[in-house]
Amino acid sequence: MMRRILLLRSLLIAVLALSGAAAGEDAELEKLRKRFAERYPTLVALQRAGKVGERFDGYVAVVERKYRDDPADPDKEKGPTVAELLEAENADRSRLYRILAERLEVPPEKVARRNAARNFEKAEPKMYLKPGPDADWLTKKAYEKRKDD
Amino acid sequence: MRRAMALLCLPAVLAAPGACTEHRVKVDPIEVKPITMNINIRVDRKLDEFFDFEKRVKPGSAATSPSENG
Repeated sequence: MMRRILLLRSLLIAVLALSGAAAGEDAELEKLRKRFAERYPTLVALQRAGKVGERFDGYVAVVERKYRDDPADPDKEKGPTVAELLEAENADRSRLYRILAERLEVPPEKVARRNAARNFEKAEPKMYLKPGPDADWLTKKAYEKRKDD
Repeated sequence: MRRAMALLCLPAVLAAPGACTEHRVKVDPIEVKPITMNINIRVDRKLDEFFDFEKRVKPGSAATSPSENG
């Protein structure tokens, strides 16, 4: 009888711990989403300006080093630089990929690559993409043309 | 009695070869592609759900283009 009570108690603790972890992750996902949404307009503006591009591995990077120290938002001189904004964006992307990978039981790299494909797909013709580790930056238009050839 | 038994069994013995039919079961190769596609769809769906704000947030035109910088 005592053993059964102990077993039930440990089962209950395990269930509570699991649901608590899921709730914690949900809260973290919500915080991540909020931060992504806040950065999104600036990130798109930087991509339209040709300073930042989407990489094959699901992360963003500067197209040329000279843009690193530019203010991310020219209207906010005291705001983060391009490099700081990208660092924050990539750190959050990394965390997101890990959470989703755990839920979907796939490697985080898989989620990252699928997000890269999603971002390549929705990129505008003048936005820059880096299709491989040794590939040059290409505009979406040039990338599409190269794919067709 | 023995002869009667033998006579009774005779039709069964004669019919036995006809009862042997050949069954071929065709086994299709295991398809990996649909599973991979299914995983991709699941991942894509999760990403689309997560980034659904992208449709609502209007991107600003804050950054100046390199050509504007000279």
